[in-house]
Amino acid sequence: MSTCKFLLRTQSILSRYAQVQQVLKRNFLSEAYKCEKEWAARLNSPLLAKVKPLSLYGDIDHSFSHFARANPVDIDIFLNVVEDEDLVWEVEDMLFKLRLSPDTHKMHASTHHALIRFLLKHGKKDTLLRILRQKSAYGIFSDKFCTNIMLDTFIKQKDFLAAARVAVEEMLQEECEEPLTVLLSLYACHMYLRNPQEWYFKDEIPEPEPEPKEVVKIRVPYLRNPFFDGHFDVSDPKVLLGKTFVMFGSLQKAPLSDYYRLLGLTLSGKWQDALSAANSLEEVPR
Amino acid sequence: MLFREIVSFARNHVKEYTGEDANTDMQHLSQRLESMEGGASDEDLTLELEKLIKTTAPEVEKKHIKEFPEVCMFLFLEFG
Repeated sequence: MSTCKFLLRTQSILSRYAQVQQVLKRNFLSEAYKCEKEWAARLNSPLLAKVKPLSLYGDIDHSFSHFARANPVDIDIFLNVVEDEDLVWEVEDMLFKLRLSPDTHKMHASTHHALIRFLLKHGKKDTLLRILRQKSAYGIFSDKFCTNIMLDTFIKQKDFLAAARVAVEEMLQEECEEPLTVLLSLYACHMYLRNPQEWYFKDEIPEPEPEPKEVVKIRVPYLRNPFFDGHFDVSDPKVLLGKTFVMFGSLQKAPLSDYYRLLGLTLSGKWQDALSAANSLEEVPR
Repeated sequence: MLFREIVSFARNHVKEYTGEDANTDMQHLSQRLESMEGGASDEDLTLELEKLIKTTAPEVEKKHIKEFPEVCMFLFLEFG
């Protein structure tokens, strides 16, 4: 009887140990979060099942060439059925052309979702980050599911630059509703700061124009003064990270909120605000 | 300590941008931060964040997995 009790107790302890191990080993998000099965089920829809991506692309491209516009529903269907990695350029080109057309505002929510999943699936990080950044050229906005998937994927790959760039996009759009996105964003930016790399890709840095040898003066009706909005116009990575720390850090409880605010203000070069944040930090007994 | 890291970062930042060692506000900030003792370290903050993420994630995940098929339905209904 006592042996039986001992065995039962040992079994219970081992099971608890296994549970603790599982919690400790747990990654941020499980594979189930991606809902790959549900997403793949879209291809079973009778409408999508009969679509041939290349043929549809030909029709859309023809429409753009002849009428300078195409139906956003066709583009949505194309993006939902396309799986071939070789068609990344075509996808990007199509979105660029749609953005220039008068139908750009009719772009469907599923187009944004499908594009991010497609590029993420093929590991086209550079293209994905460039498209997300150039909103005026492509008009792509990530939803909360895609943002979490991107952040989680890049963090697991230890690509903190890519994760931090996604976080900065969220900050620029002031997307603070999802607590997990906010936490993952803070984590991504913090880990990036530990080992900073070149923020922009080579093709994103414009080459400086050579200065003309002769000064040419032109009479203009009026001169538009340069405008800097301090938000979307910011291009300095340190300031972008600083703003992200301030915005997302302030949503946390102390002491995380205090430290991230201080770090963010310092990164943004707002010395007076940083000084008052440091003063208020000192007043709080730790 | 994170304070020291922030001070060091801030000094380099100012030097890089203005070529000066520090401006007045910067000097005040450095002095204030250096006078502080204790505080969280870089590792403390990341560990705290990891803990928060790991406690928040399962609930968000559960909710998302439950509502994603409906989101898919919504996305596909747009075709109609």
